[in-house]
Amino acid sequence: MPNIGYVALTLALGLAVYAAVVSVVGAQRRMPELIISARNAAFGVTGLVTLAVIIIEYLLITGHYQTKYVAEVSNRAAPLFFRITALWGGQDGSLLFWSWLMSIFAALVLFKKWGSMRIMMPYVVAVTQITLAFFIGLVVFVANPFEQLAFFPADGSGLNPLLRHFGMIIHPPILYIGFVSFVIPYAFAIAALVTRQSGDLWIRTTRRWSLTAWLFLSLGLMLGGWWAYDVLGWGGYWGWDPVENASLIPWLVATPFLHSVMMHENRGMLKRWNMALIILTFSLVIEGTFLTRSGVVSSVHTFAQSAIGPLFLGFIVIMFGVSLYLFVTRWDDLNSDNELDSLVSRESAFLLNNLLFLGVAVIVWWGVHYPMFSEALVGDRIVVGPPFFEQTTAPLWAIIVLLMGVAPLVPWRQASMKRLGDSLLWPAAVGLATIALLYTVVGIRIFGALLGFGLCGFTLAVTLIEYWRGVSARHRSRGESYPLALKRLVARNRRRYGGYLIHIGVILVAIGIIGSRFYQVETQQNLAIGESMTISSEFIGAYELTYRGLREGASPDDRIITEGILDVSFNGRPAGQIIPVREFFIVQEQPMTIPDKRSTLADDLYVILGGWEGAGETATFKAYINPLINWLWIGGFVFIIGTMIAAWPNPQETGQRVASKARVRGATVPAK
Amino acid sequence: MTRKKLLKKSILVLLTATCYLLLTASLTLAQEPNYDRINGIAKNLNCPTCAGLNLADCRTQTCAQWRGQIGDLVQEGYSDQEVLDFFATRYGEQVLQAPPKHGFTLLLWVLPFIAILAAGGWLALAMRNWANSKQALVTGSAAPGRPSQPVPASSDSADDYLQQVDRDLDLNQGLDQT
Repeated sequence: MPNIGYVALTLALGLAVYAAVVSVVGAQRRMPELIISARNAAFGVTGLVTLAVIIIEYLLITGHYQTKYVAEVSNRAAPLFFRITALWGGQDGSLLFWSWLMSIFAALVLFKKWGSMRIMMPYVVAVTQITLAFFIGLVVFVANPFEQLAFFPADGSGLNPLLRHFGMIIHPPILYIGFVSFVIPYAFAIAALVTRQSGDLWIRTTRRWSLTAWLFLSLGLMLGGWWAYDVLGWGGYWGWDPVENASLIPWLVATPFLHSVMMHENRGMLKRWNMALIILTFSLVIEGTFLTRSGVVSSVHTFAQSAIGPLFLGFIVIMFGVSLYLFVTRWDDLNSDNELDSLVSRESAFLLNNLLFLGVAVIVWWGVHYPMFSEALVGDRIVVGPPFFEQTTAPLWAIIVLLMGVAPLVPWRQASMKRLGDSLLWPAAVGLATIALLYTVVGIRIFGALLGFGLCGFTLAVTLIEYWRGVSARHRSRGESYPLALKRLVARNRRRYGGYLIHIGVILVAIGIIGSRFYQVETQQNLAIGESMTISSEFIGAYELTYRGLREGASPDDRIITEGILDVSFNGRPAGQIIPVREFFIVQEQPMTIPDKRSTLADDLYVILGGWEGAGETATFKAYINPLINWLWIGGFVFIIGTMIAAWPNPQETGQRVASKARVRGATVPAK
Repeated sequence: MTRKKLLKKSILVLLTATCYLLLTASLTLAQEPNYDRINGIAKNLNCPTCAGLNLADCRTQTCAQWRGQIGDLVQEGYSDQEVLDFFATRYGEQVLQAPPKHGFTLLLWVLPFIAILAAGGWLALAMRNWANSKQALVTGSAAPGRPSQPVPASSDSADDYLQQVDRDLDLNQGLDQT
């Protein structure tokens, strides 16, 4: 059975190489039969990799421990859910999973877009299949999940306990979908370069795809943060860990790309820059996965070291080199349709947006790679921790929030300073009023927090006023009621108003980050049964936690669960119990410290059980107050809804697509 | 036993008992560490064995020992900074969460900002050239930033819509030429 899986993968590798080569030959020699053959081969690759995935899942579910990978990531006691998701629990399986997702997207784009861009399609096939061939090749030659052990083990070693949480189960697939789907806009960009396209056809075609890829990447990042907060028990959600950063950097480059696409479509400008951005985004995706899998950086996320590193490095160099070569040789094809009219214009705002986001990307990239440089050049391997990233990126984030409020008010081409000033007046007043209110009534004194909240107030005001202007215009001119006007406004202009909703989501996230970062309170104490500890924040109130004792929880056979029971009273009134948990995984001999939380809009009371003496006569607890943190998750939710609205096809677009599909349905063979 | 000897013996016993009591009392008082102070200092240090966690959050034995050591130093009267210096001297600068801002490591802090400022400067210059060359071309006049014709409406359908919105709301009085 495992051998069938391995053979399927080897065949898939061969087919992928075939598809890439034949596709290019067919395009160069104008032989449509070859291109069709390549397309079919691409579908074949997807089918074969799917077969391999089905087989490895079968081996995982039935507990075929002679297969080395199965023994590494599961054991007898593992429930079905974790057996299935163990597919991405280790290096080999997750590479296979990555390849499978990529093959699905490669087939999907062929299926959906085949009729629309005949000239570019063969090269899209070539690029996607070459990339696929690399990853499948890695699985076949270096990271084979079907490898068999010489003996038949009685049991596996089991999934890493850190991975046994619901968030962990959806975080990698969502993140991988985000990473992998960027191969499609990249492939179209390369195809556009090769076929010397000077228009924005490749961008228009892949815009929704890029937006969806970005959606999954954003969602994956948020899920990672939520999982870290919910189960790791250190009271935070983002550790600036190298692998976390490696997934953030492509996002930091993809965000200005999506914004610059607007400038490309509206004004035909920034063609070269957008090309560079998408090449950079995808290169950083591959570099990010290289960092994660090769072991060159030390992180809580890294897989075990293997021969994979140098191979990845080689692929990155080749891929980046070829892209760069094409970019430079096609430089003149990408002339701007328009020039910059004025320094104060939306074009300038977008350029500034690019500078800021790429600035943050450069800082984070540098911080991740610096230990390697430092070790290579001076022999000192230092650790670059959160203080570096926070201190250096904070001013840039602040300017980004400010720009998010100014840019929607700046028209294309040229702004009149007077009009711009007038439209900024009310939002600026809101921002200043926010600061004044927080300083006097609430008592916020930290400069960074005041400035941050003020900027959030300003930008939120701008964005809400934008909605208001549209809604009241519809109400006045068409007599629609306000709710209907809002619905129609958003439905008719999904990109704009979906985008504004994304901005609102970002502001809510910023509020959550500012509150929890500047005003987190923590304390640790050792309590005897009956003893109390207090934790208080001047903005939230005071919690008193009284230790009642330990209790053994309902333990399945693979772990021992110990619960610490605390009575909570908030500002003097009883407020239920909080029960943090210690899970001890027997086979792996590893403990997990799982927090319990009392969540409100204002704050989280977050408690973990540090340890205990004897049978629990005394126990150590660590408690945190995280003000405003739930706004982070709420903001994330709003962000996702906004992205979905922005990506949803406009009604007139669907009409156009149906019409063009009817036109091409006649031809089954690509023209010329 | 004579009375004197009994007295001596009982004083000895009493003395020993008092010493014992004082010793255990001082030990218990010393043993109750100020966790919050220790964690505050430990947050600035890296876990020596696990990657990516700071010393305050890590749950391994080594980290517990290190936190214990911080506790001892604090007991001896070290200030927060002195404790950090102690660890940096003993184990090297890689135990610090925030890399120092001197020596070779200054490169870490400074290089990205130089890059961003350079890029920003280049961008500003490029934009100024871009805009100026357009003005000279269009108007033929030598005064930069003063276009002589009104700016036409953008082709973006959403912008057309909002132009209509502005007209409906009487906000669009005609674009100023400043």
